[in-house]
Amino acid sequence: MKLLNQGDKGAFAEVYDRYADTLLRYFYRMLWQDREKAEDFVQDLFVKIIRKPESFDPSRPFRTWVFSVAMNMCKNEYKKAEIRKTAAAEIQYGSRSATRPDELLEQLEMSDFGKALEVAVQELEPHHRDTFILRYRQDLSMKEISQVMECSEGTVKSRLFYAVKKLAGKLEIFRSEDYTTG
Amino acid sequence: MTEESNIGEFPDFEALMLSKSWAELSPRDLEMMDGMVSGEEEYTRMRSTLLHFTETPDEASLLTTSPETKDNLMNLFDLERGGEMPPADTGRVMRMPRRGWLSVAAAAAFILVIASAWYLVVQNLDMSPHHAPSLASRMQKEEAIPNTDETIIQEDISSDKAQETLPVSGDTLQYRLSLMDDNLSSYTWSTTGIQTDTFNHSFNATSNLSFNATSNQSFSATSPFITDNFFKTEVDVASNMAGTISQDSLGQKTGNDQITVAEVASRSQKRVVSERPVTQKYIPATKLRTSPRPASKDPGLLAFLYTCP
Repeated sequence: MKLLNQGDKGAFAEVYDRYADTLLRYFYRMLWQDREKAEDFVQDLFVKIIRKPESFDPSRPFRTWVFSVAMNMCKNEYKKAEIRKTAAAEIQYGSRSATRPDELLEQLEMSDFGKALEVAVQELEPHHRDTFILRYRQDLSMKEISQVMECSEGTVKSRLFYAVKKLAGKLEIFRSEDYTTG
Repeated sequence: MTEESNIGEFPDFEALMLSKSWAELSPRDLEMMDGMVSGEEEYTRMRSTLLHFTETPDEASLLTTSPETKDNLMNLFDLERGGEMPPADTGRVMRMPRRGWLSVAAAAAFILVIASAWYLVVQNLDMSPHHAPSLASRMQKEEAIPNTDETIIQEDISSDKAQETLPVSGDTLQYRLSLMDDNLSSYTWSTTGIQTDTFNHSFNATSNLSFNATSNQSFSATSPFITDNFFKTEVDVASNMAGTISQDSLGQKTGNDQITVAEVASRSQKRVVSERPVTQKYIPATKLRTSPRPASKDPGLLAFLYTCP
């Protein structure tokens, strides 16, 4: 980032190559699996890095800082979506908001367990969903998540625990011995 | 155990669930999970969910950014940080360079040049009302030169060939004069007439007379300006331009003076701005001219001389 601040184009290219795909996947998961929107958000984030590199806090790891920025962008987008009276689920899944999550999951085929899981994740409360995605999709550590979300590691673990508990409850109909061991 | 926003310590359930089934839990583990899960069934359900998420990649894990995105950002980086100009097609994020003041300055300079050129052209066109003093000085200079040819009428003084001739019967002449009224509205007449007599140089201009007015005041076909001043002036011009003039064998002028610009101007209460014959659309077959040179090349001076008593 120091080199980037000094206008080093190579440094910027390195940062982009290292984080662009990761951020694209994060935005994709957080923003209703909208590929185009995710690409736009990646671009906007790097535009911010280009135009305001001084906003980077050198005391923090770049990885957690960039995810903090990304998460705030998602929160702003959620607010905009609420203002537009558009439920998050409607964007990706049509009129899904009119259907209770349990009913939606029942409509999915048993073989489509993976898709049902993604739907269930999207149905989580925002702080549960954010924590869950950062941990099990973006592979951030508990400590990194606590830095991104600016909370304690205990809080992160707690959120994860209740997120998994809710997901397991929603996906009870898909329970299969294939996923259990022992 | 309740969910709080800021918890200091929380059991590491993840490591436990991912590594041990319910049957493998030690008494200490069971004690830790007591109160967190209702029993084996919920523990197993949560464990299977966790295993799925940690072992199964989702469809998003295959996504990669498009090359265009990187290109756009690199161009933007050049533009914002490196000072390089971006290529023409730079996509969504490219902005115009912040150099608007350069465009404004260039436009101002261009307008200044155009205005200066226009001013010089207008000055050289001799259309200024301040033409009179220079006309008087030139008149004095011309009067000092002996002149044996006093009858140059409606001749294209810009053409050497035309200066050597006078119109003959049947020739078509054009004449143009410009006036300006007290409201500083300018008028331009363009009249066309036919030479009716070879030797007397009669010029019948009543058959073809056009009137062109340019004004800085807007008027419509029903405005008083049109119905009153416009046609009245047209009639004045027509009647006065239709005079006859004769030239005897000695080249002396007799009859009515055809050049009545000043008279027209006085009758219509307008000032003469300039008066210039523009075209003589013929090459006369017979040269009636006996004088070696015209009285003057200045149409304004000519007009003045012809209106002198």
